[in-house]
Amino acid sequence: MKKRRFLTAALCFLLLCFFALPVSAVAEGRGVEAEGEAIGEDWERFLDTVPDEVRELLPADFFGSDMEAVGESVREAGAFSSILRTVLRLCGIAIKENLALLASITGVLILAATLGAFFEKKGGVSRTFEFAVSLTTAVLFFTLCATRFGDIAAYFKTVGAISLAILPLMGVLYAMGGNIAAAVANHGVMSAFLVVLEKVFATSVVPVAALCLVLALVEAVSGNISLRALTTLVRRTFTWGISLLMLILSFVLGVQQTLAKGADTLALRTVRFAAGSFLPVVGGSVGESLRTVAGSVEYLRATVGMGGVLVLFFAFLPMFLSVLFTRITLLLGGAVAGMLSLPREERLLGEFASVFGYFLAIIAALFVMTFVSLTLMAHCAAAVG
Amino acid sequence: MGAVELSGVAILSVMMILLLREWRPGMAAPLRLGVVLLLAGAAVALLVPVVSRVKTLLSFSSEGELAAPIMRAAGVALITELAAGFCRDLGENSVAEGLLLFGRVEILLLCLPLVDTLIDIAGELLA
Repeated sequence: MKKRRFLTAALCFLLLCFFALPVSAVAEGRGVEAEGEAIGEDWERFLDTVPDEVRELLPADFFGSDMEAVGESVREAGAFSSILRTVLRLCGIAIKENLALLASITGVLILAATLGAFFEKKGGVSRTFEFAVSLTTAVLFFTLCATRFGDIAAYFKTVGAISLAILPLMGVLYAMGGNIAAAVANHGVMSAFLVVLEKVFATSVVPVAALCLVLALVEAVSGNISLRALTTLVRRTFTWGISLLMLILSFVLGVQQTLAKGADTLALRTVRFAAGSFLPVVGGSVGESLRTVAGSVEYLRATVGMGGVLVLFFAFLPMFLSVLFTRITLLLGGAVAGMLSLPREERLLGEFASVFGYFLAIIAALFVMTFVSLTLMAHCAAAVG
Repeated sequence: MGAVELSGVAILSVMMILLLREWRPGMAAPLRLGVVLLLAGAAVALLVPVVSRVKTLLSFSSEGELAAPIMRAAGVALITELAAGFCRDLGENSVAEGLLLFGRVEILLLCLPLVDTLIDIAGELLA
């Protein structure tokens, strides 16, 4: 009698456990909802860091709390036609912005060439006047480029803030998927990356560019001293250093990710094997339910990861296009200076264009680094699966 | 006034100056000054549309006011060069040199605010 009661109670308990586990097809959706609610606060904190100009480029659903709708909007924003439309729109804005810059540069160059033609004879006040013209053009170029420098410095800060906000979000998703070691490793490497980003990028990229410009200015105004080799050396050394740093960070992140993922998978498989061996019926159900949870977590991780990549891409794209078109404008200005026989101005514009080329390299390298890191994190399979 | 008219004025003035040197030497210098001023005025008048176009181009950006110091410097340079040339024609080289020195210093003084602006921007960028 006692034995029967015990068997009945055990059967009831097992049935209860069986029905409590989310193993049906509907359960996957419920799983996404449940996991989505768990990361809701971190997701909102991440969305708060998205600048307004980036918000305008993303679908409205992207900023909701329903993770399935967010996933849909990520798919929509990541479509080729949508990205192409955004690129063309941003190209139009950048071209319009830089046409004004080109008009100003051309205006100053025409003025310099016209007035310079009055004093072709060397001696008298002509050299002093040439100095005045060089100084005016330098001030104009510096003033116009200073605003761009401010934008570039702000971009580095934005990337830092976005990465900082996405880090706890990915950490939570990693923990949910059972990738505890991977969460710890990624957090460590990404934190190091963010420190580097804050310290190196925000504090040194713009000053190094400004140093190059000051050297170019000294060369242009003096007319006798050649500092081009020094400027090139400073620029190349810094770009090389930054590229090496990024390579090391990507390498460490890749290695840590792969090793930690392996360790997590092994640990979780051991637990599942134990559960499956000691509890024949329930153990199998636990495995199934864990696979469902893993599916939800992987879906969320892909959504959050690709959402982060899209936010970074839409923060990167306007800046990249603006710097690219500024560089083209400065090269065009240099060509105009060459046509008007203004060698000093041509050299100065050439140096400005080189500095913007250096900015292009740094911005592209930073984007590639963050893109690779996020993609790597988003692609890591959940250990519970 | 076009190039043909101005060329005619210049040739006639030179002939008159040569004649005046023989007949009334005292009158040659004022005539020379008058012709120089007329030619310079005509050249400046021709420059007005160029300057207005340049101003239009500069107005596309917020830095249009940067053209003012360079225009003033051009004016100073033009006036001192012409006056120094006139002084040299009269055989007063030392006066001409003094005038040119004054012109150079005045242009440098006009450039001082630009130098300040440049140092400020460079300081901001390097900070």
